[in-house]
Amino acid sequence: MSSVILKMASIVLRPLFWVISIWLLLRGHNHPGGGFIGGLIAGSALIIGPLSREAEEIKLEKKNYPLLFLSGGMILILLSAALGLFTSDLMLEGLWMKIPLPLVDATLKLGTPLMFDVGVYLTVIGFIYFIFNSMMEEWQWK
Amino acid sequence: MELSIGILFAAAVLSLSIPSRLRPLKGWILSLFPLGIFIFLLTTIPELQNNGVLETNRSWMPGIGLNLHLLLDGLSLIFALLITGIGSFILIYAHQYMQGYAHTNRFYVYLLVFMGSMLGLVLSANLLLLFIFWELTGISSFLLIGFKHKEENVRQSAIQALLVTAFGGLMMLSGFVMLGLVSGTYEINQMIGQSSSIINHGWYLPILILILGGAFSKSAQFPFHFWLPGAMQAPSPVSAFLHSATMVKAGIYLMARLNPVLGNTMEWQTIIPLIGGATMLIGAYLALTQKDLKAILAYTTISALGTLMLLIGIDTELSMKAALIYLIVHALYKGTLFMVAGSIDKKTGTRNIDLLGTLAYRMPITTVVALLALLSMAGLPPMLGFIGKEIIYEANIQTPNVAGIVTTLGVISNIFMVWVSIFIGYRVFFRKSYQGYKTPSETSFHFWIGPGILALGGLILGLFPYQLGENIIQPALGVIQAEQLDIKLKLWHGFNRVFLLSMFTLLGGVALFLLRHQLIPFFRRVNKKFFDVRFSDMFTGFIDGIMAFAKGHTKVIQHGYQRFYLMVIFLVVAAMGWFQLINTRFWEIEMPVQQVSVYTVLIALVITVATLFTLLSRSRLTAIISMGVVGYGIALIYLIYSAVDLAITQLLVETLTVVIFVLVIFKLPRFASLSSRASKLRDAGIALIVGGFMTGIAMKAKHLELKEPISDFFVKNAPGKGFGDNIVNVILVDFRALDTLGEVTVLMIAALGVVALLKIDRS
Repeated sequence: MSSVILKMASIVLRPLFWVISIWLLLRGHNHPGGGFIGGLIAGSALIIGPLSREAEEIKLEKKNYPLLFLSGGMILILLSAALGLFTSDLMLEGLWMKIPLPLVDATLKLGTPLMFDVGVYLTVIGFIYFIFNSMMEEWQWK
Repeated sequence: MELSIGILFAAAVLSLSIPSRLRPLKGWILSLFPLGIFIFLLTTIPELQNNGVLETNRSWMPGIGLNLHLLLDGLSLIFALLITGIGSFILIYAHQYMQGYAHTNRFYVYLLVFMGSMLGLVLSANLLLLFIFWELTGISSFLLIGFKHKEENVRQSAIQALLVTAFGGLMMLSGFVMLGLVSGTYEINQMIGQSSSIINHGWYLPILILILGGAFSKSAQFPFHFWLPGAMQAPSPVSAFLHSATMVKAGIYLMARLNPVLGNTMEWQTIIPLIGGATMLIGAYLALTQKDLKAILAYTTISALGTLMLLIGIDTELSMKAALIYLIVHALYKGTLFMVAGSIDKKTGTRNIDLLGTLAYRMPITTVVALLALLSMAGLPPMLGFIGKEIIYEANIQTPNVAGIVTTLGVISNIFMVWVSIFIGYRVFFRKSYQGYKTPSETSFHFWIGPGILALGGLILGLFPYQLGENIIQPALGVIQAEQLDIKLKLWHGFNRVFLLSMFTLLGGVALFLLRHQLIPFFRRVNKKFFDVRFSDMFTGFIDGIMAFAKGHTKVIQHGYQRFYLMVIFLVVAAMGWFQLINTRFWEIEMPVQQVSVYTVLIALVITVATLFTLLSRSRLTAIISMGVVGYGIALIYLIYSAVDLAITQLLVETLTVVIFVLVIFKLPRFASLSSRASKLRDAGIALIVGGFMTGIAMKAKHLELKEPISDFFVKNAPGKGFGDNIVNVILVDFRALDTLGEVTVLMIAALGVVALLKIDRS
């Protein structure tokens, strides 16, 4: 459906959604947030633009980006799950790497759980994007 | 030794990558692999004298007792020599025979895979390993029978062979497992030591019957024999190799191998001779009335397999010796005859014996080869077949208890065999009329070299049987029967009872042959009247029945109505839940009086009102928005109990759902009330039952007394072990990551479901 307000708002909202979603994803391990929530917001960012137009006007991507998101996320998740197999024989075992940051008095902790969460993030984005796209595609055909 | 199996499997892969310059030599090149193994096996003969063995043992899955335990002893050696020796010639023969067929690459792969599996089967010293190879031979046999898969009856035969042998194979596997449970091992060597306790165990009879099921179905014993004539749909090299010389002998091999474990009992000496004898007679009799050359050979093969089974079942030293010799005899002449039949088929365009004739003048070399093999089949001197038959008669006569019956059966089937041999020899090669479709000419070198050498082998071994007995039969016999035996094979046994029986057999065969014009029509009439039941048709009917049954009940259970599926799921879950709730008397728990804030009560009220509104609304949009209100209300409750992550997630999901719902509704037809009053009431009832059950569970959950709530563990360990302060997130990505993995997978599947729903009708 066509909506001028939404169209205008989406110009501001889209980047804002992206920033918030990534922020939520990264802070998720210690504060409210995480891959799932971040993914939902990023997914909204992707569909808010097309939402403000008529279905017929929406340009569909030739490449199947939603599927890329979905499968990419799934692959990341499986990779992070498999890494544990090589070190401790346990699937999904959390592996951590601590990098002391220069200048600031803090250490950066990277681990397979983060990779896992990014995987969830991508899959959720892909899912929303995918469903939306499939519906739009269907309507354009009719 | 394990290398030799590996070599054959590797050759199967290599056969695909032979450079095109070498294509014209493909059969020759590939035959080098089995030939090399054959020569290697010959070099092991000195080591295997006096019960020596070659052994390798590697553990594979020790947890279930499966080891890569290979063992080459006298018994394995006989089979391994037959497999690799005949295999080499088959490859050369196939090279010429398969010219003009499509997909010959596949053919070589299947054939070599079969060869490797068959070799593995006879070398396995572990029953589970043996079973794996056993099934592999069955599968490769299926692929080879169905090689000309574009014809309906070929596919039918292939499926039938697969189903019969795989059914037997599964029976056998359960027999193996029971045997493994009784003896505590799957190693055949270790079972032999426990033989007496196995035989006296209550499970002995079921074990024997189950294993015999496998052996009988593989070796085409009555009443499983019908798949073998069907298997003649395969190209002739396959019939010569799998369905006469090697694979169908697997059942014989298995019973010989297990004789020290299970043998020498009343049951063994009753069941096996009974079935074997019946098969022997039925096969020989049915061979008489066939018209297709390959079908005749197939039925005589069944008869020979019956003879072998009978001999194994008699279970005396002499009968085992007879079985081993007859095994070699049969492989040599029947392999030859099948290859000859294939050549004739190629050169004349038919295998119908009513049309064939005069080939002796047109294909002299082939004729000589065939006649040598037929002599062996008829059991005439100086061929090895003669020695084989003599020993069989000797074994029959010395059978404990039922010598009379066994000998009579043996003589009758042998008379039939003599008749069939003369009949084929005369009809195909010497009869003065020929009505084939092509003008036959002598075959090329490829076609007669293999069968020629096999037939000559029968002659040479017949002339010098002593070597065979000393080097091959004796070590094998030592494996089957524990005591050492002295085997002296001779061509000439003197004028004794056995010789008289032989003379009688020969005369009987000749006499029947002379009376053929009266007898064959008579037999055909008898067949029509009494044996009109065709086992293969019965089998097909049985399989069709299973399919019809499956279709019938699938139609009832999988009706395709979403609402009924949901109803079944909900009701079953609720019924189980309610059963447990009532069982534990959930109403007796005391609800503690808790301080509930005003907000909570208010939000609960809003949710309730919104729910009722959803139910009663007459507009879709209203219904969806009030559903959204329910969702937001729940999110607020989460917030009040300080579950921030849950609340955010709930809000986002709720919003997106409403948005997408609205999008969908936009495209839907106008709201209409489709459900009748009765079905609405029914749905309300189900909803109340399920809802009540959920409420009960929730109340109950509050009062479960766990020693230590799991949440304490998470709270304690999230920062230290999960390196995160947000417990929910640590649970999601670390402690319970497997659950999340499952959920994400569900997302993927749901996406696929969307594709299916939206796009399925487009194509």
